[in-house]
Amino acid sequence: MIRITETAFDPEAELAAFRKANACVGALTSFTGVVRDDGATENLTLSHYPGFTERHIKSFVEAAKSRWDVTAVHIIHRVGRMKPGEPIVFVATASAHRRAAFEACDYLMDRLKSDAPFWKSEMKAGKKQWIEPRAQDAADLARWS
Amino acid sequence: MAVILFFGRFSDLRDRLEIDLPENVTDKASLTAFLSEKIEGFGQIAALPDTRISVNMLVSMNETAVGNSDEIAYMSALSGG
Repeated sequence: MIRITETAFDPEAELAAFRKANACVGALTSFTGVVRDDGATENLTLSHYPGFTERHIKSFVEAAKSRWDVTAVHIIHRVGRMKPGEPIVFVATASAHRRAAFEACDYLMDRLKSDAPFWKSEMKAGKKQWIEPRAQDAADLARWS
Repeated sequence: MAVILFFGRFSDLRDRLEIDLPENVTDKASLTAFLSEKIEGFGQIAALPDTRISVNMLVSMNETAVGNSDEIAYMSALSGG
């Protein structure tokens, strides 16, 4: 399941629902990304390209399923304006074995971080600035090639 | 009439443009040159690394044809969650 939403979500509730839906699978892994509170960021704004972004994320999920034996994937990505501490992204994977669940979740986050059509800007001291991809993000993604 | 969408840094200039493309605008390169003339600051953003362009939601190469029935999106570097 892939959901892009302007509405705040509760990662614990999402994980509980995912666990309930995949109760007998064997291994569940999840990751939650939140807006970092560095004391200076007033808010973060994420935008996406409706339809295009979902298509890309779906292809990441298909790639993960072809690479690892994952039985279910749940992805939620916020768009719109967020405050520090708010969840931005949630990824959960289910598999019969822990390694596949861990690695698929890790892979999906790297693809979301570097390949998903999202654009992020932050407001600091009343000034908007675009957030650029970091070299570390590219290095993380390169682990899977 | 072509629909041109702008994402990331491009959205600081415009969100959307609906326009009849001139006859000499036939591909991504000529469209980028046309928009650089039309929109102040566009050319500088288009020249940045990792700029992507899609035509009808397919990421395009330079020689990809564009026309008045297309939805074209200009995207600056991606920065996901």
